Amino acid sequence: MKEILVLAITRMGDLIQQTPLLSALRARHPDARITVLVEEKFRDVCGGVPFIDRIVAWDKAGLVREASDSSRSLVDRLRSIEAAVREIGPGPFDLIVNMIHSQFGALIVRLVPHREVWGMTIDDEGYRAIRSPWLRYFFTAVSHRRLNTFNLVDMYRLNVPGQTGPGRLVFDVSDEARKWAGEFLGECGVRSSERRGTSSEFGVRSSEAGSSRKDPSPPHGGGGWVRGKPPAPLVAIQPGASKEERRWPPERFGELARTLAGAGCRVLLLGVEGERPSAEIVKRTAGVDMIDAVGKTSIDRLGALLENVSLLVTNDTGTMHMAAAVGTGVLMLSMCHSNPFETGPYGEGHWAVSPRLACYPCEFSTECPDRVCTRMIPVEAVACAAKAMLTGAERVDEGPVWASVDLWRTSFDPNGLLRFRPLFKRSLTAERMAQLVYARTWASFLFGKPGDAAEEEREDYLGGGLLENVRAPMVRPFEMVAEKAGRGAAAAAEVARLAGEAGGPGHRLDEIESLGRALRELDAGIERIAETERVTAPLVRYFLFLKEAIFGADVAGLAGQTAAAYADLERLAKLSGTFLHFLEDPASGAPARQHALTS
Amino acid sequence: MKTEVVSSRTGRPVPVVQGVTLHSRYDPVAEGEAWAAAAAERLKSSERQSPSIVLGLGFGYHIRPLVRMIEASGGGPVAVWEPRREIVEAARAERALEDLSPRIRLISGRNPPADVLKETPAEQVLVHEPSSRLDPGLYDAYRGQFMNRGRRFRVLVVGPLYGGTLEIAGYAARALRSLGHEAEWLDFSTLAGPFHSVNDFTKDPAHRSKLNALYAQFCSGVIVARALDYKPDLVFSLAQAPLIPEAIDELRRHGIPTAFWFVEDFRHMAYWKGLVSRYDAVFPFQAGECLAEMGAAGARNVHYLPAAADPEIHRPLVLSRAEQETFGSDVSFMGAAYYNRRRMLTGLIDFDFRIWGEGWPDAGPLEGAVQRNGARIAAEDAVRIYNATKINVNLHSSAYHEGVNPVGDSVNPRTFEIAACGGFQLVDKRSLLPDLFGEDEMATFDDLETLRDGVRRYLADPEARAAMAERGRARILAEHTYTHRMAEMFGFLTTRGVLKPSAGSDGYERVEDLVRLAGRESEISAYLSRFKDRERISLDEIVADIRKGGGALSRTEGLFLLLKELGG
Repeated sequence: MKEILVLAITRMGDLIQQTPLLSALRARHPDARITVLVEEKFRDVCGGVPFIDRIVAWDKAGLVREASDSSRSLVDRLRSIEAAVREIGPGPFDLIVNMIHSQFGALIVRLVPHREVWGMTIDDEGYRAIRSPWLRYFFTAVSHRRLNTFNLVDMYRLNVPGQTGPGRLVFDVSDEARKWAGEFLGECGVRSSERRGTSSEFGVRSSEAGSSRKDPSPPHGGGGWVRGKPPAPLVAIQPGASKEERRWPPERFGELARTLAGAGCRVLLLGVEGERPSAEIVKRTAGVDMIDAVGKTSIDRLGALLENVSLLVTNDTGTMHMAAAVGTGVLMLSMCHSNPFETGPYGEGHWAVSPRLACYPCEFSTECPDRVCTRMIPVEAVACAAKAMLTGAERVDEGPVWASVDLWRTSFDPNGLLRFRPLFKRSLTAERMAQLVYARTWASFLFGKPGDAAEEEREDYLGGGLLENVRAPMVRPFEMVAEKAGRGAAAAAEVARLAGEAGGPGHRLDEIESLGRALRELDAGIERIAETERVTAPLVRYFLFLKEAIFGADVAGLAGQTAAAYADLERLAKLSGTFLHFLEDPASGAPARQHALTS
Repeated sequence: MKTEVVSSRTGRPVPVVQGVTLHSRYDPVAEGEAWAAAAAERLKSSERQSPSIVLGLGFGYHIRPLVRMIEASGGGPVAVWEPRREIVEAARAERALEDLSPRIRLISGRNPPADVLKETPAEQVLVHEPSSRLDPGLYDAYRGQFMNRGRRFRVLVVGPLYGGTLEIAGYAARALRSLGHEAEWLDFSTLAGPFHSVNDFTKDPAHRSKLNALYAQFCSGVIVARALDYKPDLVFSLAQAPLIPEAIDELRRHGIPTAFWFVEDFRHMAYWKGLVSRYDAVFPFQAGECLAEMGAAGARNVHYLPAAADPEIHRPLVLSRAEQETFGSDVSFMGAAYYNRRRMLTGLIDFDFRIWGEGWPDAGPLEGAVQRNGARIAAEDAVRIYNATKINVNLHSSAYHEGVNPVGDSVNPRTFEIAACGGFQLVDKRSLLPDLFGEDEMATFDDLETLRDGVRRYLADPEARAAMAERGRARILAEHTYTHRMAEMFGFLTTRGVLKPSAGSDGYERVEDLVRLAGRESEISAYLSRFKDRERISLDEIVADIRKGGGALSRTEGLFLLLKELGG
């Protein structure tokens, strides 16, 4: 493979989340030239990513302006777009990895000559198709996010085959930026002893893959943090977020800053200049001396500042991913449709606080009239978690302060996939049960191994009679899907056989048409199950993506691919049915049957 | 206006109008050659075979060499537009056009003929600047109509709560739609009831005035809210529209231009003084002094725009016997009971005379003539009345003249409406009337005596009435519909830069232009050629065609889809 193109017109955080994918591509194809298409305003992120050979940067806002400038002729506007596409290069690329998950990205794929693609594309007839199983899973997870536990970083990087351990976010801070950060913090009176050293990093201990962190020593690697005594740890806060609904109220950040300062921390305030108004609220509410870096950082300098802090408390932001990339511990505050499982900080030992609320996390399309979830995270809980993280604790004591929130900690499962384990023992809800089942189903299906850690998970949840209550209603739906999918696989295989016979498909047209009708009825039945038994919906969504990706003109070939799609659905449903038993109630003494894979 | 003719130093006749010399007083031939050479250079970059049009005739010194150059290079036909009849007449008198006449098409009127507009690319419209100085607004409006070819504006039309201009708002909106624009009429007549009911709550004039102002403020809020929602290229308001200055300012802050058609006598109404500087463009239906006064009041772009008719509403009807009896009479007057009308129209009571309209007392000398107790007459009934009446008297209103206003200039909408109905009218003389109708298209009077003479004469001569009415209607259809006015107005707004360069481009472009721009041999042009059976096409239509089409998706199709995806 000589030429690889990665379409990455995404935001800063997404770009950083894609670095393990780039790293895996580089490891697998050391001699290939990797070209990345990014948005001009995030070009600087690529400066810190060592696996990129060539950057093509589009000024997307400029292109949108040109495309919609109706004072220009259609032909002129078309030529502008054509010129932008031409910048990418003549190709053909051996591989395009499309990380733009929309029609926009699919059209770029269509316009750039290539041999293979991962991600969304448009086939010859103009229909959408998603190539590569992990990206097909990504689109499935987007539609059924409440049942997903995989992190985006894993969903992206695992498209590159052959990876065994966890990934690692990468951002190489330049010497110039490090120098600037040192001077900036020095001018603000932060002594070098108060800064986190880069020798011991947070969450990037890939050598420890698969093992949960047992070492109770402080993650910042300093000499420990003692209340009220120097060296005072430097804690950064990021009160902004690209979407308003994902912002913890700035007044609460202010109260948090006051609490942390009172406990002997230095607080560094981060953000872009546009976030100045909320930064001012933070400062006003805090009423303590803070280091104000709002509007002062480029992407590189942000990385350099974050290298110096012991902890970042943040909403779901690009800054959060940057912190994770430079090895700084993150305490994520997750609200509305931000979901730590999906987009939480990648690496071991980060924490996340999320509201314990039936509607959380909401769908991206939800328009909430009263974002109660943003007010459900108490300052005391965040302060308590921050202090615990600074002292290297792995748990906090339960108490009333945690009544309205869940607290999570990241670790890697035996497959090297990021997971969020609860820091308090909770009752196992049906939804959480389905999440854990699906984590095993998809890992088995896509990765070949369930990544099982049932013993730990039994520790995390209250079992008892509850387990059977949540498990029992899920059994039949998976069986129904498996049964229909099995029939579909058989019928499609029969079509393939008939069409492949001498004389061609026309020879047995009536029989083929009859089977086709039967398959359409089966499909309708399968989709009905997904509607009425929602726990099966992700499987059915994945199956529909599989069918969308079927291509070719030969009836026998198409029928063969269809049979394979049904077979995959059948296997997925049976896997899920089997994994329903992984958390057998220890009190019942029943042996766990989680390893009995069905294939 | 008389055209003075002076002799150049080279002995050639040169026209001078209103102090503007239309050609060089030294050597008009050499000047014309230089103008034509520059114009021909511009035409080189355009389509050779397409027609060209020169705006401004003068005595043709600039046209003669241009026609020669175009003919020599195998170019298309040349039209020449001259809006001033007196210049054409003077040119003919000087025999300045004798050799040119067979080689050019000489046109007049405020709007380009449909075929000229359709065939002539905007870049082939050539302006004779000295001529344009005589009527800069009209020249801009004319040129702008070529620039607007294929553009589709989105317009929010705002009318009054009630009154004469209410219907005009609806006619204007319809005319805009017939021109291919998207127009929404914000009809405030539904809010007239609550407005009037305010008067039931208080008799105190100060309180009424305050409440009326608050109501106007509320209505302005509605307009702004609707505009922000509808995102028009222009908010176009009619006289009496409840749009307060602060709301116009707010629309400007949001980048929405505003235009105002003031179809009222500027001398009778003073409220325009506080408004015209706020609008981006103002269109009074009076010229001359009115334009100067509005300019002095801070109006930036002012252009005289006469009233008009809507031929779909104002049309000849075949009336039933019952309708004829209800609405018909030998003589009738339709309109509100202004002072001069009350004073003068009693002079017609010895005829079979009916008076229709608001405010007339059914008492005194007019008792028996006033219909429906002086109630407001709906537009459709007015059309029946114009059709059913042998002689429609049209006396422009005045609050202080005893009869005809001897210095009246504007021509009221009723003049156009009666004519469009094919009705016969006697109208009082107005200084702007001769530019709009010829003497054989509209019969006039100066005072009661000439009015009575006219009534007697035309009652006795039905054929003369019919012939005059027919010519008047023909002139309406050719030049005086709301469609003509709206095209003129948008031409002016475009040339003056009031409409944003991107406005009005609904994405529709001429397929022929697109193919030419793409380069005849290109892949894009080959693709676009499939739409040659349509005159115009938009990106949306191309995308719809791609989406429904079968076969492999081509690169060009992919580019069009990407363009659409990026907001094209």
